[in-house]
Amino acid sequence: MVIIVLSTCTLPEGLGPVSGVEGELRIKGEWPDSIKAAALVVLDNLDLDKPVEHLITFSDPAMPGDTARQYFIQLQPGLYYMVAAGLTVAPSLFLANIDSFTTVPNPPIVILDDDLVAISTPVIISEHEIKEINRTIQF
Amino acid sequence: MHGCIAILLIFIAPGSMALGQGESGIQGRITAAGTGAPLAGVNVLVEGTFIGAASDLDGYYQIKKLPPGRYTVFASMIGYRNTRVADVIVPQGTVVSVDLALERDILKSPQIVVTATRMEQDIMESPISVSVVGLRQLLDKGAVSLDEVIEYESGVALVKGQLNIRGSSGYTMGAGSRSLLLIDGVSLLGSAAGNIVWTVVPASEIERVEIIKSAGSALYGSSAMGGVINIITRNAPPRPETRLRVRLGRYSRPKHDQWRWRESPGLLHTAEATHARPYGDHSGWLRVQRNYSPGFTRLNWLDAWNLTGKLKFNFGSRYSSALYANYYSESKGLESVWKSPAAPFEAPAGSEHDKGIGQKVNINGVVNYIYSPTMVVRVKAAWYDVWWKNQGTNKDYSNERKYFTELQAATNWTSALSTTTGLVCEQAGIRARIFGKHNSRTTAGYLQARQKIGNWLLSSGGRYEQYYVDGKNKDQSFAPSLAVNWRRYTWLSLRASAGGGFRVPTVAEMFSRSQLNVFKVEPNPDLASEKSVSLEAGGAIVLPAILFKQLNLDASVFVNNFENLIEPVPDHEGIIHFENITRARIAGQEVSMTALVPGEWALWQLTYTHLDPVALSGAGEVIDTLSYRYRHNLFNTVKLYVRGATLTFEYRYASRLDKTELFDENPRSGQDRRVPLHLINMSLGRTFYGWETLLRVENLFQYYYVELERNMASERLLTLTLNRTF
Repeated sequence: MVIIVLSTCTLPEGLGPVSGVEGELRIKGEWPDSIKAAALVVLDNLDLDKPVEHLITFSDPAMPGDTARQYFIQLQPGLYYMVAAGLTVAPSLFLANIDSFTTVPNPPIVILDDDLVAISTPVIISEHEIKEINRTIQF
Repeated sequence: MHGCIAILLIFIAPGSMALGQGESGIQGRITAAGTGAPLAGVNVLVEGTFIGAASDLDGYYQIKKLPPGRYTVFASMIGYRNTRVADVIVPQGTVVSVDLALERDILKSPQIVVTATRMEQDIMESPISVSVVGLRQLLDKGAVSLDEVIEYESGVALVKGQLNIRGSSGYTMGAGSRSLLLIDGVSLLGSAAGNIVWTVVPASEIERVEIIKSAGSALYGSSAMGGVINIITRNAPPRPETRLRVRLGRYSRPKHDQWRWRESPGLLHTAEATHARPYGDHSGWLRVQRNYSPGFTRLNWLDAWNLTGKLKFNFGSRYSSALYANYYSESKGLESVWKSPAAPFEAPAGSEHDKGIGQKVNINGVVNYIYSPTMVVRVKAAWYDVWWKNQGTNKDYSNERKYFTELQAATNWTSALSTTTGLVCEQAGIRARIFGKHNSRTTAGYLQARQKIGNWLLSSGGRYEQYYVDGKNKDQSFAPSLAVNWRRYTWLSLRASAGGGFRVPTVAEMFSRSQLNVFKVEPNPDLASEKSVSLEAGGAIVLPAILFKQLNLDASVFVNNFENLIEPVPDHEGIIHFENITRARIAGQEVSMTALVPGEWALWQLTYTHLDPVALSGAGEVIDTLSYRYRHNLFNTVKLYVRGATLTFEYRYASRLDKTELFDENPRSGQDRRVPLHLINMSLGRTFYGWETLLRVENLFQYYYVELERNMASERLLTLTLNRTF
């Protein structure tokens, strides 16, 4: 009976393999006092004047004093732009919910990346694909 | 005689003078109905008194020094129905004989509870919701740790090992528990963090585990506001026995190739040996256990030794005492979060070798003095010492010591009115890197009264507690309770209760200073105690021979209102403090059913709990959902008994967590996705040449989910358990 029940049931899908980007965020130079954390920010459109409007997510942040931070950013298949950015407030407040970051009037984010080629090169992610990308911030 | 009514072979006659010239008493023999085989170890109690006895190897019992009067004799034993013989008249200087034949309880579940009112009572007469887990249920699951069993009980859920009774605790980062864990009535919670270490409990040496699913502060004080789990350890049986138990197991490799992380199979083993024997009127048992698991993630491993013993002393008919001692030593991996969702079984870079080592010693003892047939005085004392040290990226240490004493008096004023009153003192000291050095002291007094009026049982009482931290009076609380049970028929009882609860903040909540990932935790010594008011109504039905051979139903509705609930909250700078949030309410319903089909070839158990856990504004409006609470919890178990074998099929469902605290779902990227929980377990048990053999698969279909963000919750586990008693 149990075998019959089991064979007729379709078990829902749980968590499975993901796609995204991984690599290392390297930081060179002295951290300015105004920057409380640095992270790789993922945008769905390259509009550096209004990056928060196109914000998809960001990596776990590097903290002041760090010279490198390994990261993994989960992304759904699609086309993205990646920008190194600094956060001017402690980052933990914004890890809980991405909406709390995007809805504040003056988002505490500054673009730190000056590698325009890297910034403007789109990253295309396919199903279950993990791309490796290393980026450097020069303070 | 009707099938559900115990078959009583009662023979009441003037007895011999075996108990001594001039003494009054009751004696007799207890046998199994149907077979006539003598039953050893049956507890026999004279109702309305504290005088009782246990039957010997041949089923005989003697109750001595009983004043003349009219009594009810009550016999109980797991695996048999509770049996009462009323109107036993004991004349002066006469010993009467009362023989009993106990009918088999086909569900083999414990029928007596003690935790709900601190007095022994039939589970059908409990005024608040109680679940009971017996040793048989634990062995049927091949469990070596108690949490492997209780998370399948109605109303119970574990979030990364943290106990939730009807959603009371959520997940507090291990800093405090709103459900109290007792062993033989003494708290097993540390005073610093108040968290539970399940592997300390000698799970195979329990008599039963009672789960109280309503506020228990009126009896048990702080931490019992969400409920109580009381582990009643067993006494040695009347004949010497040695038991060996071995569990071998293997974690499957992750079903997705991308997630595979180790070459060797994850082989685990547990071995334990127990010897128990009587020594004249005394008895004792000693158990040693070695438990090794490589874990299903890189830092989920455990290597532990557990040495436990219990001695029971009987000094004449008035004095008895028990001494329980446990030493536990462990080395384990320290999990925080996974490396990434692409490598969820691996540890973050640099933390692969993080580990913790620790030792725990727990000794508790009780002395019972029967002052008179209707009054017993108990003195309890306990010593709890915990030491641990973390090595790796998160270096830490803690040394904690706790002393507990309790003086209790239980009195049966009349055959219908009884009270239990007590004084409690608990003192603790802790020295830890993240807390600093602190001490605390709790003094409390409680009174609980129980009145029977016909089929009604009224229970009421309260507990007043004062709490000191570092020598200063931190808080004081009073928790009242009022409950009623109406046993309309032997097969139907209704219950309702109201109770106050409180929980003083733990040292961890007040003084933690740490950095967890990017989260900084800072102290908040100004925390106030949590308060709660719990209301519950429910009923229990035991129906024989209607479609099923036996059908047990239990249903309840409940609402728990909390004030000053302590939760970890980030401030405007993102720094986490434990804060008193204004108000919260957890309302819900719960139903459970156990059905045995005619012919006893199949057993079906089904439980469902619905919770509505919300945070409220000062005006009482719903402003948020409480985190880490499953709204819907369902357990379904089907057991088939075929040709001496038992085939068990279990399904557990829990709805997707509505809210978590640290990492919320990001629908744009798919990060931190949460899914409902669908777990299917199967087992096959049979006895070969005296060895109970159990083959079990947990998470048969390798369903992956998280209970706590960025922590994979399960992997398929295949185990083979062998158990034999010599």
